[in-house]
Amino acid sequence: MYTSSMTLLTHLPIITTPPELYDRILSTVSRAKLRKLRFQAWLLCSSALVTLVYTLSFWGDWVNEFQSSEFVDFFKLLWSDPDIVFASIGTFTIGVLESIPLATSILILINALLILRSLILFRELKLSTSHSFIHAH
Amino acid sequence: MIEASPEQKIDSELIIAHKQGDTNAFNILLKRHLDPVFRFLARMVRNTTLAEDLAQETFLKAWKSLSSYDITRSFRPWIFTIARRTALDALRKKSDVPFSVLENDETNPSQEDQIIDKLPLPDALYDQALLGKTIEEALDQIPVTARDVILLHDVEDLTFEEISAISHEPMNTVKSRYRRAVHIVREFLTTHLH
Repeated sequence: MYTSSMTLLTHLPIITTPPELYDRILSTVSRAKLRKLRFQAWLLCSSALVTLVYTLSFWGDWVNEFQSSEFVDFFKLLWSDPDIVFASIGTFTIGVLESIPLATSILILINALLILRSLILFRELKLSTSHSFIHAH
Repeated sequence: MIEASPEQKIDSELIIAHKQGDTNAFNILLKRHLDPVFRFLARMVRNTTLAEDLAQETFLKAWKSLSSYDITRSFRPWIFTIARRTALDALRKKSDVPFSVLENDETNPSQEDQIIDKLPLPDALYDQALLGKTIEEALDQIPVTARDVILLHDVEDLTFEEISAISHEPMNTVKSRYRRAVHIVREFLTTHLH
């Protein structure tokens, strides 16, 4: 008559997980999450700063490009002769789209997105830091 | 329709919830799998203090990889894959175990047909207090590359197929190492309990 090895290993002494190990692991994960958030926030802020400095250093050129483009003229027309604009709305729309100063617009959009994302990330970081504080105490 | 509470959700549902930003999902996964992982690590490295650190490292690695985890895979073999690798790395650093052992584990083809899941061991060895300790000592005799197989199969109830996926080795190799581990345990028990 034989006993299977599987039955035999059930006679191994019981190993109990230390009760504090669960909290320790959660703390470790929490710290890792904070480090990751801080790094992302730092990276994003640096990018936002670089694009902002770049935009401001060429601000005069961007403003000139914007004002000399037909984009502004189209909107002046909308204000001065709205009936003409609405009568030829299709042509007006195409004209507006064609006259958008692309480079300036893209740069402003990138700046806005980076600043917005940085603010969201900082808020997330602040919330995570306060959750960690509550958890630790 | 009553929605399952977070504790009742299956592993894949928890991982999906984690990916969607549910911070409690990982906590439930941790609570569910910490005991078996810690138990496995403690028996692999034969040191509960080290096993605590390795359990921490295992679940930290799991958390970092969860965002790219394939939910069609079973979570349990995946977490044991990480645990096993973490244990082997720790043992290599300690240099306790010669890893050349069982590397070229040749299986006699004619014996493959005879490989079965459970090999019988001598009976009548039921002095409980002595038995548990002796079995622990027997596990110490098994090379670490076979110890994980017998622990995962006989204690954690994983199949040979799952263990093959965990260790990235062919199933025949896994079964061969299992058979060898059982043989070592049997020989040790026969010698020390008689």
